[in-house]
Amino acid sequence: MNSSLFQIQNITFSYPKQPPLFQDFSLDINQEDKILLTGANGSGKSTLLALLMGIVSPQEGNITLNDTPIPALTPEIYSEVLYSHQNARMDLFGLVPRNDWELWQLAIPEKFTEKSLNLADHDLMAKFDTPYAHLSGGELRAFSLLWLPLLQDKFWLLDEPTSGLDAKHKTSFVDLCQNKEKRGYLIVSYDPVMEDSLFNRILLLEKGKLIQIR
Amino acid sequence: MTKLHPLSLILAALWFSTAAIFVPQLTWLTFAFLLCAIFRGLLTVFNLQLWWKQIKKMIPLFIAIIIIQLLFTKKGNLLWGKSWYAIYSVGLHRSIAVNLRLLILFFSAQILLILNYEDFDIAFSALHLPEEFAFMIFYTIHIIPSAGEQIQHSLQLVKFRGINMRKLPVKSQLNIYRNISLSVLAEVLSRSAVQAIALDLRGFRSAGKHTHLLQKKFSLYDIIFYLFITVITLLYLFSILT
Repeated sequence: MNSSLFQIQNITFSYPKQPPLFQDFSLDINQEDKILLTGANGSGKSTLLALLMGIVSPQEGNITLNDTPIPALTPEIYSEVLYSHQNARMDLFGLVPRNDWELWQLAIPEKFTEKSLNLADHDLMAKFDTPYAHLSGGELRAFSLLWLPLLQDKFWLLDEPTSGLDAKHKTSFVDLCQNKEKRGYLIVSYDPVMEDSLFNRILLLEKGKLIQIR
Repeated sequence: MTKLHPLSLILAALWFSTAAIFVPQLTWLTFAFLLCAIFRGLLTVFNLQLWWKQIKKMIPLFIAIIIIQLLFTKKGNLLWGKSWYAIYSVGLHRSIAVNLRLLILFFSAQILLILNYEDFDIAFSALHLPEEFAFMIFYTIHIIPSAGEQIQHSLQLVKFRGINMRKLPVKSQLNIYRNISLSVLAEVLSRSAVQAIALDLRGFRSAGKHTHLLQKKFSLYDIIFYLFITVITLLYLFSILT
């Protein structure tokens, strides 16, 4: 299976009063793709993920997810993708990590059972009811990635997922990527821990243009 | 237009909102609304599509105001209809006036929302007012839009998880809304606490003469603006007093 998941067709996008970040930009992402997206600061990597999720809209061109235009996406189609924001706090729902888990339980009750709580990292679970405001940046990031093992069947769009993580959590994350089989991922990262072998495509974003390194 | 001093922008918002509240004449209210719209357009951009998108949400409110005023104000000349559905001139006048007032207040608020914390700091330091004023007013103005953004983000998170709120049982919906409102409230309080500590660390409470890192001089644009609002205010006063 190598069917198309996202299709970006000739889009133009610019932030208000800024020069275009993308002009006549196209990209196809397949279900099985394992993509590393790199590029200088401000080159538009996070914006590209935001465009794919419909958080921002292009001024021209089309983006589709499973052949459905992004503005017409229903929550059911969104569930095929997991998006993780650059700022880990923005991935987490509610006041404490338990609220976030409860939301996942509402979305996928068959996977997020009470037993699933026992599978998670014990050190993190000790802070399951601690308000986000009292957690460190690294802990927030670890909580935002905590349930990835249960979300293997989704295509991951992760924006700098290892930033702030300690060595132990980085290793666990790399293991997860190595063993991910059902669908692929697109990861924005500079971290040397994300080795080239984890990816089948390496893309460099430079001045609104994509250069395929591999 | 952004060449204007932040204090001029605050005064402009105050001037427009004062006009919206105190001016009863429809002609002057329409004039104030047009001026406010032009001012806002010059300040940001004349993005009529965006304006329409923002105003569209208020249309049910506008219609409700028109219906209530037309049905319940039975003063002035009869314009149309009879008995309970008769439309009188005062009812029509009031319904248009109230909607114009709302639009002016909405656009004035948009002018204030353009300003960031540093702008308020510069504006109040020009009046030699303490920085606490800038802090409190900035927070009060931005608290609702900021909370609104957080609510939107939380609802987006729900959608990204594949949850269709409309298909959820009422109990689950209420649970989600409870979690969203608690987290938004906690976030607002937490941010305010951090900002207050940041202000304390700058030593703004300490005695003696204060200096200001952020300063901006008044320009020719500000003088033209003050002259303009003075002339318009005098013209208005002259028109109602004669």
